[in-house]
Amino acid sequence: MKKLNMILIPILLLFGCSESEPVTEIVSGELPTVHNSIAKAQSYGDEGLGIRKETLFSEEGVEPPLATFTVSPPGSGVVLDRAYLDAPPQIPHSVVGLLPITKVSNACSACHVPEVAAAIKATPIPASHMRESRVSNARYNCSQCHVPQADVAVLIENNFGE
Amino acid sequence: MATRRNFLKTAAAVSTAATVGIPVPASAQVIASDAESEWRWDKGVCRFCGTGCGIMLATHNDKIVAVKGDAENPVNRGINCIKGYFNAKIMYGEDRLTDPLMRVDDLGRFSKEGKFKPVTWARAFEEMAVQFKKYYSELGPEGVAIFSSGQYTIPEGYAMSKLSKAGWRTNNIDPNARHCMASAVAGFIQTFGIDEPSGNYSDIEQTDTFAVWGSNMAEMHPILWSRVTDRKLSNPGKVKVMVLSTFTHRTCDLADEALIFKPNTDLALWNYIAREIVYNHPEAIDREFVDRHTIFSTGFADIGYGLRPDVNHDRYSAAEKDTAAKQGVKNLTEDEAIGLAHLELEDERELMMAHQGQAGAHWSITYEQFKEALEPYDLDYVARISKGDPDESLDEYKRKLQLLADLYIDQSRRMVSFWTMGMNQHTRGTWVNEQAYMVHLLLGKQATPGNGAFSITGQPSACGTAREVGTFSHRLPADMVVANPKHRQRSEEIWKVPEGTINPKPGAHSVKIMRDLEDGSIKWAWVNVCNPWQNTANANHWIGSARQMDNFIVCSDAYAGISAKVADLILPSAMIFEKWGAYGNAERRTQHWRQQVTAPGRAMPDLWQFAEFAKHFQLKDVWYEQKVNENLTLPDVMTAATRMGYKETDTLYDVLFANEEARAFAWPDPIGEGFDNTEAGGDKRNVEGFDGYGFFLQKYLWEEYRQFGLNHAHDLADFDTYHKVRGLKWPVVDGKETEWRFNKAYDPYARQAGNKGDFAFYGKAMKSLPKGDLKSPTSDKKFSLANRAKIFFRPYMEPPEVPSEDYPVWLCTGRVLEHWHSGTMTMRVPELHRAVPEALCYMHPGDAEKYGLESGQFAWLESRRGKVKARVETAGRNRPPKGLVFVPWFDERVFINKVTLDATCPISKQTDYKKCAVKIYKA
Repeated sequence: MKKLNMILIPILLLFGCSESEPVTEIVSGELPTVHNSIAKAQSYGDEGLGIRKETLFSEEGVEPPLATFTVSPPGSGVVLDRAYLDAPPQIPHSVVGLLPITKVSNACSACHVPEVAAAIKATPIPASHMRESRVSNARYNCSQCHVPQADVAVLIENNFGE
Repeated sequence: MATRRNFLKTAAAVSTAATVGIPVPASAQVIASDAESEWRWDKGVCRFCGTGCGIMLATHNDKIVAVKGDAENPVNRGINCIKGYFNAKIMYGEDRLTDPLMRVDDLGRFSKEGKFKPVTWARAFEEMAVQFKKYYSELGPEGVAIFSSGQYTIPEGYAMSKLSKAGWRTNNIDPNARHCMASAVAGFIQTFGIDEPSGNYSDIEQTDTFAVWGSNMAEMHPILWSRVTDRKLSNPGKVKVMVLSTFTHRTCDLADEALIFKPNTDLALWNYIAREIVYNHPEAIDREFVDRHTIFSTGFADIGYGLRPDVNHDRYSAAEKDTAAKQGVKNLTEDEAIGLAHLELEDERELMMAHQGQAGAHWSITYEQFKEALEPYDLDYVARISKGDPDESLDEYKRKLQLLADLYIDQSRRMVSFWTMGMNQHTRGTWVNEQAYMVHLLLGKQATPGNGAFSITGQPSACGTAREVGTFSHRLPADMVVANPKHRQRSEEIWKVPEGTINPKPGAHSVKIMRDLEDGSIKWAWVNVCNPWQNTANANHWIGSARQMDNFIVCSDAYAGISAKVADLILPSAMIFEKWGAYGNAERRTQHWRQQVTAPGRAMPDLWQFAEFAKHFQLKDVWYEQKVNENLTLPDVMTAATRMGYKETDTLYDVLFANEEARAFAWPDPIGEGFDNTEAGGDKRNVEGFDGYGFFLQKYLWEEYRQFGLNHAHDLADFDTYHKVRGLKWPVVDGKETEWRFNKAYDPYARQAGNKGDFAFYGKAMKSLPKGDLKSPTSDKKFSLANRAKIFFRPYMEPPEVPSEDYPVWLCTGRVLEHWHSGTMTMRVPELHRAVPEALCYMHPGDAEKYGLESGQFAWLESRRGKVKARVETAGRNRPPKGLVFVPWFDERVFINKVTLDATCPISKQTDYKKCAVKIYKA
């Protein structure tokens, strides 16, 4: 969890900067004054672009780094910050043994229905998701919006909210 | 003073608290409402799949700051899936392309061997034009090509189609939708004579029986699946959900039964259902419907597999040749020979592929012949050849098959069959689409509420742009085709270009564009809103030809994916909410949005790129005589153009995009009040001095485009209407959308058809057929089948490559919920990346043990064409049977299309990404 928070913090700090980006003056025919890390480079080959840093012509050294998911059981996870207003919360605990959700079993609702959630300090399912006292049938597939987060470095930083 | 970060965090807390009824401190409420009060909310459409969910976008300081589901949108009623919610973040990856980048030498000249350097747009277009003209004059109109897209906005696709077909006179424009929807299109055209589904999403609420074929809707169309789930759980005893797949996945988790079948045997499964109807339950046939509204039909079986016609092509490696040879002749297995009994082959073990050139040809047969052809497809035969899980008993599998047939046949039930890539990405994809209609038409369960075979679209505008606009190598807007002289004439009239401008020869489809680049017969290509060097099967060939041959590849994109890496010139594109646009979804619903924010750096909308590049061509460059090949020379149309008032020095921009009609659409326009329009009015960046065209280019293109469909069963509403509604399902006649096509109770075009009965399948294409027997047509004389649909017989055949001793495992590829296509957008959203950080190889634990692998270890997957490494997962969301592995294709570090086979459906030219043979060993 600790490592995951260290990854999250720099992203959230980006919320603090609200100034719009400087407008770049471009004169036709001249190379631009640039403000972006890519264009600052004098020149670069294929490997300097994009997610994959290895040549496209061999797979020998290409191995995504190991990403591990938390093994903390439900109830022990630290609530993760939401990406933005009303963004779906992410799952801070292990889902091993809880998925799949089937037509007869939805392990998520056992803890997250409001009356239980309040008692055990789980994130409650909001009113928008409820029909009377039950989770709306249309919201039954929790895993279509709510996902666990692996402990892995971001590939490319995201400047959302800057 | 509260910081922006606090605003956001407080706003989020207040909003959550409000929904759960927790009291909020008064001070926090004030801050929250201040934060939100500065936000502008406007409607938009999700960037991702073909469902077409409505979203609400919040904008502040020229940035998207939040997204929520649009509660007023009837598609999703306020819900999104996780990708939908993260539309908010897709535009903000740190490495957005912000400058044109060109491979140059030390002196700044273009060099194929050079490294990328930032250049101005002016310099980029200049080099693009020099290279285009060089290869166009060397090779003619077929020497250049456009990789187009089902993710273009409708005006973008329309503009590029017009520029290619009316301007450059090339039909070498073909979309990534070729890999996604082409078999569905061919199935529609051959069966109904017109493209796209008869029904709409409310079929979900109106049916009580679902069969989901070759589609993991729970992950790929989550919001449609939430509607299916809602329907299922609302009456779990009555509503039945059957899922048919080659491996177990999340969609199976909600199903009453999951049938795991052997790859390609869906062809046999459909025939089993049809045989049950015809032989054992003839009372279930809707006789009146069948007699009045259908005819029976079939076509050739010996049509190859869409591989290169030259089985000894010099670019094939030695390892590829045994699969390549199947294009010429297939050694039939015993199981195949049984299913092909209707052909009465002299040699039951060998099929010469004699009708490769007539793959789509078909003729009418009698009901008795149809029945005879189905004879072999009984329960014993079909169960034996199709059971896909070696650990399931044959009796249990037979029980499920019988239940499936019973549910279809039960006339007290309504029935919806959904499918996506499992049936489309298939070397007999057109056939298996036709078979779905075969069963539904026999039963009369088509084109009524809650009844229908319903092809679900993969991409956000595969329907709206690729199909309806016709950004395919053979199509024109509104289901017209370049090969039809009347269609060309009508298009030339609307486009105000001289008669004879449009090239009558269909161009190269997507896979052929890659093969032609490898052959050196195409030497200039422009990638628009797609990633063909990552998404085309057998990729080692294509990345090699891009980098090592004499050609010029341009890639317009927002992020550098594999296609950008292999390009010579990269153009930075504006993304979805940085431009005005429109998409068309899988239920024929067209939805528009307004530009919300400004693109970063010098990134510009694709539409602007097309218009600017068009300025580099004068009519004299393209409208004089053009030799296409030995047999075809396009006429000189410059004389006629002069009579129309054009000058030979007019540019394609002047004629196609900035003509008198276009300039009549003023900008500013009340519909855009308060919103930017980079193309029409420029924006705060004033990129290279561009301050807008001064007219409403997108609205002009829309109003011109919709002339194609008006009174031709593809009617669309005017531009402004779409900005006031949550989309409309075409045809929109007298301001009203059409819920169920072909049904006279709902469709004005069906009522106009003038035939007897309650339905009219009024599509015009392929509605004149010869008669024949089960082997071939028996006469040349054609008869009309106006207003009828076709019930096809299509046999079971194996795919060209199946597991063998050397390559013992089936490889199936596809997507996962959290990532879109090649991952260029979603891999840059940290939450989505952390949810699924890499493409895994999903494998049965028994196979892992067999190959000495453990979950989490890297394995090599190697085919005749290439190999990649992927981590093994034996307990994941996808649970294949022994003998099959699943690897998604979103991760450029697990470049799985190096392994896949570029075999296609010979009719639709759509690649089969679901089946090839691999060996697996520890890395």
